[in-house]
Amino acid sequence: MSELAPLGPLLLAAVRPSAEGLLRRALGWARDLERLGVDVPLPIAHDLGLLLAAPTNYLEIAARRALAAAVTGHPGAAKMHEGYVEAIRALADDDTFERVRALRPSDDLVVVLLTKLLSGHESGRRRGSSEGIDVLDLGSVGSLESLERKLPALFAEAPRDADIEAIARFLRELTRLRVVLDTIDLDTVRLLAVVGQDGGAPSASIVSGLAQVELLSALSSLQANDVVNFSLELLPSVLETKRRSAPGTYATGGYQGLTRRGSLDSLVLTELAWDDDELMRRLIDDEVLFHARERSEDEASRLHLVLVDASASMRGDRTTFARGVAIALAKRLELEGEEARIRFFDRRLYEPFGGGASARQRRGALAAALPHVLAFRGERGRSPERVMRQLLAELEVLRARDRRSPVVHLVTHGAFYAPRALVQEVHSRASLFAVFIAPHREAQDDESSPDASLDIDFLDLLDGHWTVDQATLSKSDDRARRAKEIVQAIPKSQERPTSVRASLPPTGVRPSAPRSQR
Amino acid sequence: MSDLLHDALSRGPSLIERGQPNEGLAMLLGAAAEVDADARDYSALLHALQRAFHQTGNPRGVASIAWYLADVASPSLLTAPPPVDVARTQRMRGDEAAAARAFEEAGLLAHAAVSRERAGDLSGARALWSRLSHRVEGNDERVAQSARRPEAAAEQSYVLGLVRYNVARNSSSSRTDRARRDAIVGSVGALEEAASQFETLGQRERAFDCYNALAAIGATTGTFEHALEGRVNLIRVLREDYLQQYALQQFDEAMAVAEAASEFAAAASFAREAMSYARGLGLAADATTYAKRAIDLHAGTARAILRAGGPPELAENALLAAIGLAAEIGLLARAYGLYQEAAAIEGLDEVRRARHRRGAEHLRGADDAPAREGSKPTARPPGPPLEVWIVDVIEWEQGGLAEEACADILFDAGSRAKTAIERARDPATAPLRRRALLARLLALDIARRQGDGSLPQAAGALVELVRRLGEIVDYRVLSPLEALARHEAPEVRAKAVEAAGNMPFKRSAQLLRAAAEDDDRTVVEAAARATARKQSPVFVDPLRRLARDATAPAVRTAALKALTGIDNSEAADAVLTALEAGSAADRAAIIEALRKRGRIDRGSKLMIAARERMARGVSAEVAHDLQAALGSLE
Repeated sequence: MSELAPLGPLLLAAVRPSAEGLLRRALGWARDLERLGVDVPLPIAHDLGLLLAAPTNYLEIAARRALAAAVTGHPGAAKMHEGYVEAIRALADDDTFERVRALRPSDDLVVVLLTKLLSGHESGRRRGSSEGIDVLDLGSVGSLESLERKLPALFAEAPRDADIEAIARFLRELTRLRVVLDTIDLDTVRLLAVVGQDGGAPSASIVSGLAQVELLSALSSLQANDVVNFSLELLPSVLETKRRSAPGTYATGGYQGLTRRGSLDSLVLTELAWDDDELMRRLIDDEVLFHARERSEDEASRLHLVLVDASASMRGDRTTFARGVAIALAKRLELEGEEARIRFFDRRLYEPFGGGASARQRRGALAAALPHVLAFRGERGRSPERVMRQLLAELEVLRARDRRSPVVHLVTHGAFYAPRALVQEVHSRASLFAVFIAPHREAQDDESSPDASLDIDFLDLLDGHWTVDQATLSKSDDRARRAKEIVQAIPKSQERPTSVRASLPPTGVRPSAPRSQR
Repeated sequence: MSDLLHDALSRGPSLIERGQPNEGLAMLLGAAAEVDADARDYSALLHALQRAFHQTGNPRGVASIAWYLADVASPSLLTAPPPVDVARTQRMRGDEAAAARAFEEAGLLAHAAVSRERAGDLSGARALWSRLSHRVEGNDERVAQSARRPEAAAEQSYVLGLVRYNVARNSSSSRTDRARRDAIVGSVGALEEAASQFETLGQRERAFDCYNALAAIGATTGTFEHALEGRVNLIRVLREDYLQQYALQQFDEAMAVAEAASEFAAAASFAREAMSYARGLGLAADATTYAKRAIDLHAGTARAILRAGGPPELAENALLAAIGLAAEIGLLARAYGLYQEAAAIEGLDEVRRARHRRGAEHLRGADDAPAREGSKPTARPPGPPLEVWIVDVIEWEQGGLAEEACADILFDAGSRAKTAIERARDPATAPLRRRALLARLLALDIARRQGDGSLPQAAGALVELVRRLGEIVDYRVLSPLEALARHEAPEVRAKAVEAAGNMPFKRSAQLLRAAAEDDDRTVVEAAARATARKQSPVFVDPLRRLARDATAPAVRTAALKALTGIDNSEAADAVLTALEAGSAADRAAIIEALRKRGRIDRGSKLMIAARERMARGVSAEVAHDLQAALGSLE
C-alpha cells in the first residue's frame, strides 16, 4: 500500500480546492481531529472544513469524474453520492457557513468547529478507511498537485465500504447537523476577533496558536455564549480607548511631548530665553519644560490582577457579569499599555493563563487567555481567607521582583467574607478595587440600596468599590451601563487611586460609599 | 423465658442480698445480654437489675434503666445521679427548661441550648450558643490544645461554624440585627475554612458535612449564593466518591432549590450536568429525563429573561441551548417549536430572527423520536440528615464518650411510638436500645472503676466495651469507636478497627485509613480484615485510596480483594488497573480473590471493562493475568 493510501477516500469528497495550500490545510484539519479523538471520515472533514474556511470562489463543488467507475461495486453508491454533493452545495450557501467564512477562521478554529459539528454525529463515530492520516507527514510527501490524478488509484488500494457508509450516515443525520450548525454561537468567534485586534490592526489569524481544547471548551460552554454577548455589548466603548502614550524620560524613541522633569540635553531651548533670575526661579519651582521621550511599554507602571470569583456561588447571571466586566476591563488596560492578568479563584487562586514576560506576549495575553476565561470552571469550594493569604504571598514576591505597582481588582459576590485584617494587609501592598454582585434574596427589599444586602466589613479599606444588584443584572440596559461605569471608572496610572471617587458618575450610579460596619 | 434469664432472676438478687453484689450483678448483666428476649421477661430482668443498682449505690445505672423503661417518676432520679443524667431524666419527663439547667450545670452548653430551643426559649438558647462559640474559638484550653493537630483544627473550624450558625438560627431574622449577620458571616467563613482543610487532608466525607451545613444556611437565610455553594460542592464530593445515586439525588435537590429561587439558568446548568453525568454512568432513562428537564429550564430561563425585560440575546442563547439539546435527543418537533419561539423574540436583530426562521424551516414536519418503552429513571436514596448543626455539635460535645452516645440511642423510638410506654415497648428499636443500654452500663462501670482506682489496667474492659459497641450498628457509635481507636493499648485499637469493619457508614473508612498506618502489627492486621469486609459501593473510593496509598501490603491487597466483590465500573477500573500495573503481590491477591468467587457473570462491570481493555490491547503478561483471573473473556 502506498504512503498516500490514507488519502484515497478523498475521491468521495464533493469539494475540490483550487489551491494546493487549501488541500494541505484540509488534511491538517483531519489530522488534528484524529489527534483530538474525534473520528471523522476524511471526505467529510475535508469538505465541511473547506466550506468553513475558504471563499466559495476558491472551491468547486462537484463529484470527481472518476467516482462513478470507482464505486461500481457498491450498489446505490453513485446515487447516494449525488445526494451528498447536493447537501454540500446547500451547506455552502448556508448563512452560518458564510458568516464563519467571513471571519477568516484559523486552522484551530476550523478544527474546533468541525469537532462541534461532527463529534456527536453518527457520521463522526467511524472514520472509514483513512486511518493513518495522523501519522502522514505532509511535509515529506512532496507536491500534492498531482493528487487529483492519483486519487482513483489510491481509492482502489483498500476497501472503502466504511467511507461510503459514513457518507450515507451523514446524509441520514443531516437534519440534526443543521440544528447543531444553527446553534453554534457565532458571537463567540466574533468576540475572539474583536479582542484579538492589536492596536487597531486586525489580526489575520485571530485565534491561531490557541489551544484547541481550550477553544473547544469555550465554544461548548453554556455560559460562554452569555459572557460573549455581554462582552460584545461592552467592548465598543472600551475600544474607543486609545493606546496610552505616556511620556517618559528615557531615550528609547523620539521626542513625544513636554514634561517638567528631564535631563539638560532634553531641555526645551526656548527656556534659555528667560533671564537668569527667572530661569532660576522656574528651575526651583519645577516650571522648566523638557522634551519628553517616547516611553517603552516595558515601563508600564502598574500590573493589574483581575481576580474573578469562580466559586459555585457565582453560577447564573453573576458569572456572566463578572467575566464580561473582567474581559472589558482587561482589554481597556491592555489598550492603555498596561498589563492585566485575569485570574480565577474559588477555594484557591488559580494561575493566570497565557501572556508572558515580554511586551509582545503581554499584548496578546488577553486573546490567548480568552477561551480560558470563557470556559474556566472552578467551583471547588470557597475560601476567601485562603485566597487573600495566597494573594498576599504573591504580592510579596511581586514586590521583590517587579517594580510596577500592583493593582488588584476583585470581582465577586456580596457574600465574600474575607477577614478584614487580611484585606488591610493586601491593601498595604496594592491598590484594591472590588465589584460585588449583591446576594440574591428571594424577597429583595425594593427600598433598600444594593449595599444594604452586603455583609462586607472591609468596604472602607478599598480604593473603590461597586455594588451590582439583581435588579440591575436582569435589565439589559442597566446591566451594560453599570458595567461600562465600572470599567471606565478605574483610574489611569497617572491618577492616584483615590481619584476614583472624585471622577464618579452622577449620583445613583456612583460606587457605593465606603463604610465600616464594625 | 430462657433458662439464663430465669436463673438470673431467681439467683441474682439473692446473691446481692447475701452480700455478694459483684456476683449477683454479673449474673443479671449476663442475662441482660439476651437482647432478643421477650419484652415482659426483659422488663422483669431490668427491674431486678435496677433494684440491684439501688442496693449497690449506682445511681447512673438506675437512671439508665429508668430511661430504657421510660419510668422516670422516682424523685431520687433527680438527686442522686450527676447533672448530665438528671438532665436526661428531665428531658424524658418533658421538662426541657429543667433539662437545660442541668445540662448547663454539667458544662454541656450545646445540650443545654438544644433543650432551651425545645422549651421555646430562643434568647436563652442564643446566649448558650454564643457562650459555646467563644469557648470553641480558643478560650477553652482543651480545645486550644487539640487544635494543634490538623484534623482537630479542621474539626474545630467545623464545629465553630455550626455553633455560630446556631447563634444565627436563634437570633431575630431582622436585617438590622447585626449580631445575627455577624454570626452568619462567621459561620460561613468557618465552614468554608473547615471544608478546605478537610479536603486538603483527604477527608472528603467531612468536607461533605461542611457543604451540607452551608446549603442549609443558604436555605435558612434565603441566600442563594450559600445554597449554591453548598449544593454544587456536595455534588462534586459525591461524584468524586462514586456515590452515583446520591449525587443524582443532590442534583434533583439543587434543581429544586434553584427553581424555587427563580434562578432558572442555574437550574438548567444543574439539569445539563446531571444529564451528562447520568449518560456517563450508562443510565439512559435518567439522562433523557434530565435532558427534557434541561430543555424546559432553558426555555423557562428565556421566558423569564424576556418577562423581566432582560437582554434578548440572553433569552436567545437559552433557547438555542434548549434547541441543541432537543435535537440531540431526537425531539425535533420540540426543537421546531423552540426555533419559532426564538424567531419571535422582540428586540432581537432581524438577521438573528431570520436565522431562526430558517432553522425552523429545516425542521418543519419533523417528529419527536419515540420514547423507549420500559425505561424508567432509577429510584433515588434519601438525602443527608438535615440537622447536622445540632447532631454534630452534640457529638463533638460528648467527646467520644461511649456512655453518652449510648444514652442518646436509649432515647430513640420507632416512628409510631407516641408515648413513653410505647417507646419503652417499641419492638422496632428494642434490640438496638438493649444493646446500647448494656454498652452504656459497661462504659459507666469502667469510668467509675478508673475513677476510684480499682481498674488500673482498663484495656481488657475496654476491649469488651468495643465488642459491645460493635454490635450496635448505628452512626452514633462511630464517635466512641474513633476515640477508642486512638487508645494507647494496641489491643483496644485493634478491636475498635475490627468493630469499624462492621459499620456500613462511609465515615468508618477514616478509621481504617488511620489504622492502616498504625505502628502495631495487630492493628494493621485488624485493619486488613476489616477492609476486606467493606464490599459495598459506598466504600469504592476509600478502598481505591487504600489500595493505592496504604503502606501495609496486607491492607492494600485486602482493599483490592474487597473491590473485586463490588460490581460497578469504578471498582472494576481499580481492579484492572492493579492487574495491569500493580505489584506481583497485588496481582496474585486479585487473581486469588476472583478465582474464589467462581464463575463471574459475563455482563458484570468487571467482565465488560476487561473485554474493553483487551480490545484496546494489553501486554501478553496482563492478558495472561486477566485470563487467569476471569477465565475466558469471550
